[in-house]
Amino acid sequence: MVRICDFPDDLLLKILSFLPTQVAASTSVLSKRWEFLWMLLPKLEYIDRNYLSVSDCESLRLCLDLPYASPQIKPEDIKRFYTCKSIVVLKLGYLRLMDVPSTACLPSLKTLTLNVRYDNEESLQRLLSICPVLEELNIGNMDDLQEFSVIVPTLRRLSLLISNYSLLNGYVIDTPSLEYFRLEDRIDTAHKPKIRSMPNLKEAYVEVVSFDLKSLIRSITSVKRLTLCSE
Amino acid sequence: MSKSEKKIVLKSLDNEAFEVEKAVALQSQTIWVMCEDKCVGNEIPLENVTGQILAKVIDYCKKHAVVDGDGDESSEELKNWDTEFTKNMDQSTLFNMILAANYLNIKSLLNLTCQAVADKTKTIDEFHTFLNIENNFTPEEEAQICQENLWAFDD
Repeated sequence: MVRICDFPDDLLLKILSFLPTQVAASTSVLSKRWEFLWMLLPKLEYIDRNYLSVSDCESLRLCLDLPYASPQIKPEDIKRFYTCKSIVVLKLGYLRLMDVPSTACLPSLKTLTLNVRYDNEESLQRLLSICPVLEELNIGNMDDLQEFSVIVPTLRRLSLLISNYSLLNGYVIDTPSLEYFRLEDRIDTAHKPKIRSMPNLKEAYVEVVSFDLKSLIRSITSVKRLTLCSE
Repeated sequence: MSKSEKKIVLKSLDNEAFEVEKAVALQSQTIWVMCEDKCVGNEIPLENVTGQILAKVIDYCKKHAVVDGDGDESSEELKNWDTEFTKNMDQSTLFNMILAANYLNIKSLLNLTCQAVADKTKTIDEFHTFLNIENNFTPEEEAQICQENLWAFDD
């Protein structure tokens, strides 16, 4: 008679890998053996259900203005993500990114997709600073930041979507290893992006509204394929 | 290659012998390595798999060998076949199939059977009943874990 407790961890993880992250994480309550098992999963994806239907920036912005709709996700709730040493891919959606704990480290994280709100200017940079091998970063919402910096020496792919509702005054991108760069900057007022040199860049897609293109072109001289859209 | 070399005999834990095409058996990386090593003859003893389970594994490998071989069947049909294959398996058979797929190192079968278990366990109650897991937390510990992972239990 085979029992599940005779299975090695890698087989239990295999089963968990076919479940949505939220269900997989809920197995922490099954028994002592299962409590921390899900944290070894290589791929975790978590979307706050309250915001599943919110897809466009306008309604998202509306939600931001309504106190009752603000997600109740606190750092305690996602603190376990920060201790998942094996996470390779992490997507966080529609939750508020607060202070990242000082002990946090995501040593295996290669791909990070963020569709979150930020508590302060530092929380994004702080999160990036705990990902020493990050290669791909996708950011889909910056509406509540006035400034941000993406300074990641290991980054190879970067996609940024900045909506015209954004309050940004400026931003800094310092990613010297970048090979693919996608920037959609829909801000229609003056702002100051600083994009540092990307000597290894192969492909870029740039869609901007009010933007000093000269500051960009100087940094992407090595690009082999460039798509540029500007109004 | 003579006819006999194309065939291989797999012997189960309970001494049941199955003669199968080599192409069918070689979907198992474990058997492939054993054949490469040449340390076994035409008969391969599989000490971790019973005849009842091995018969099912061979059914799976035969189906997938045919499809990979002549490409007559659409991937859609194969998918349906896979679904039917695991649909009515009870818990004990599924567990044994997972262990056999793992031991024989047949990746697609391991994925299929693990997926089948995942499909049957979507709630904590289903985990407890289908997987027969005994809760060894105190009520206080359990409450603490739920509290720490609120997002995972938020319906």
